[in-house]
Amino acid sequence: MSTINMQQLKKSYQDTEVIHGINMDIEEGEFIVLVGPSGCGKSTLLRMVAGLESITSGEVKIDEKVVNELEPKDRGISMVFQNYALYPHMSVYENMAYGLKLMKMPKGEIDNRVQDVAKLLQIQEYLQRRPSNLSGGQRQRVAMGRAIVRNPKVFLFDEPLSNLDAKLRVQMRMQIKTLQQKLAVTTIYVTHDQVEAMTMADRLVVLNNGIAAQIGTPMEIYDNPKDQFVAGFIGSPAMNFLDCEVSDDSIKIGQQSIVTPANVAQRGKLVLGIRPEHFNQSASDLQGTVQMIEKLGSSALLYIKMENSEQPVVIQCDNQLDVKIGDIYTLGFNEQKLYFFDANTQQRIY
Amino acid sequence: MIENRPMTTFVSHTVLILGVALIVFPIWVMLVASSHDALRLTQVPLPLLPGNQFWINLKLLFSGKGFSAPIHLTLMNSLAMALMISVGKIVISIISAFAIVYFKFRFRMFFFWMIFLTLMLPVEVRILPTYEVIANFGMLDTYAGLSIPLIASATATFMFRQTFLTIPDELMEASRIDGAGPMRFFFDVVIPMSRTNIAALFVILFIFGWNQYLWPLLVTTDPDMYTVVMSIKQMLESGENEPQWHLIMMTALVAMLPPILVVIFMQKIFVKGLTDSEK
Repeated sequence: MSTINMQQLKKSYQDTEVIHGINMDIEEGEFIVLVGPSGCGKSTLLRMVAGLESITSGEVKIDEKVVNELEPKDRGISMVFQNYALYPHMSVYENMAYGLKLMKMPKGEIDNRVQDVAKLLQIQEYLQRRPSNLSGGQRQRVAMGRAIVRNPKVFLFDEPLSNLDAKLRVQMRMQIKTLQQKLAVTTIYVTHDQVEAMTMADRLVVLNNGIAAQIGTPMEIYDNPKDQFVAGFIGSPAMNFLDCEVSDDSIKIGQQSIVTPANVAQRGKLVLGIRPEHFNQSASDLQGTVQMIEKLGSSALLYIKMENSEQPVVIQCDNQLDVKIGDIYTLGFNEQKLYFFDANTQQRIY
Repeated sequence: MIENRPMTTFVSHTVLILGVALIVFPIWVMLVASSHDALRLTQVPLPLLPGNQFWINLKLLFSGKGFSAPIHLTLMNSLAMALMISVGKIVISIISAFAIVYFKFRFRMFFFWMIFLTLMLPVEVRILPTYEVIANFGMLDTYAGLSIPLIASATATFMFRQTFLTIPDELMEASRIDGAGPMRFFFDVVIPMSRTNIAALFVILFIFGWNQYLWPLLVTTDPDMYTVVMSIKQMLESGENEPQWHLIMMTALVAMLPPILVVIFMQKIFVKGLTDSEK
């Protein structure tokens, strides 16, 4: 159980700055997920906490102690890598015991700890096997075992599930989350998968180009995205954006228009955002042509082509809906669920 | 290509048989010659079938009679030299490859290319200055003089570098987090993971070392330090006397054995080391 604080954390490679000053306070036992598109700096940030990347400026504190200059092994962390990074020439047991052996722990205690963790993760039967004889999910658990057995202050996960198939990923997602709650170890978890991010996080950090675009609980971020990037990134399928022009009595979207909601005070060019799941099928505001239908089983996604807009509008609706490709479809908005963004700064206004 | 035409089968077999014969025939001649006495080998035509002198010749060779050094001495010298060269080469090049791959220091690439450039300078090119150095160090007629100048190896360094580049960086990072310093990582991860490559290289280097001819010829003057390969040459120049062909052939036969044994016993691991990557 430890706290982590980051103050004005920056990282540059030669002259290019890739992390532009991150401030964050992580509480004891919290599960923090760093999420963002590839190349946004989330792995770099994690590796800076781990001590695998040097810190250009700013501070990382673990338990109120600045760890900038400490070697990874002295920071009290353990890390799970995307490709697991198990030592291929050692058995599962040796893989887990290696770190403890280097700590000069007595053999008996090593054995106790490895056996305990193996039991926790249900990998006792494979202890004598080599990693190459294990399946992806088993390797994943061994990698976690190696992290847990060191009894760290902080867990760091670097996209640990992206090498697994979809079904296993959902399973492991739950396991990791349950395990973390049980062990109550402060955790930083990096992923590009926003479903993973939403389901696992106590708090989410959405990173965009080396800046923390928003930090908050998953629902906070889903309900109140700070800007267009966060709004588009969190939520699946992604939020629809429509360019619009707001005047006193109407909002013009292409050739069509809707009545201006009372809470929208700013006039001029804005971007209207609406989530696919927030359309109101009983209202009728805009019309478009059905371009494609994706049946998901429990629901269906309609792709509606609007005039003057290249991106189709995605609507999540009832699976039983009777529409065909080429039909004219009428969209209805739920006024409370509309988001407005500034067209230039992309900041959320309403 | 799967074809079943008798003509192609015939042609391809002929080519293969010719190829094998080309290599096997000299060895056969050697085997035959080593089993006759000196007199028979001076008569024409040369025998093509084995004689009955094989064990007698072998005994003669090990007794050292009529020669400057008995063969087991030269064999020991060859073995010592070949082992020192191959072990030395592996140790030095694995360490330099480790430095080049895993450490960031100034002029890293410069050093790599410097090592690489020495590939273009075989022993023969630098043999005179090397001799001068060894002579000044007083290492003539020693095992050190025989092996040290041949130990530096660009090929092996390059090969280990390529092997290390295939070891994922995450393993290094994982071991850093586990608390392993660079040398711990080297011994606990890098070396075990390069086992097969080390073995493959050992086979190549052992044969390279065993077959050294020019260098031992230069640095040894004491018959007790002769290696077996060069001793064959010495036998040919035995002054006024007729060359003792039956013993020369027997020596060649015995000299061929150790490299063959190394290849036979390490063949499996050798092929694995050159082709397999278990990462």
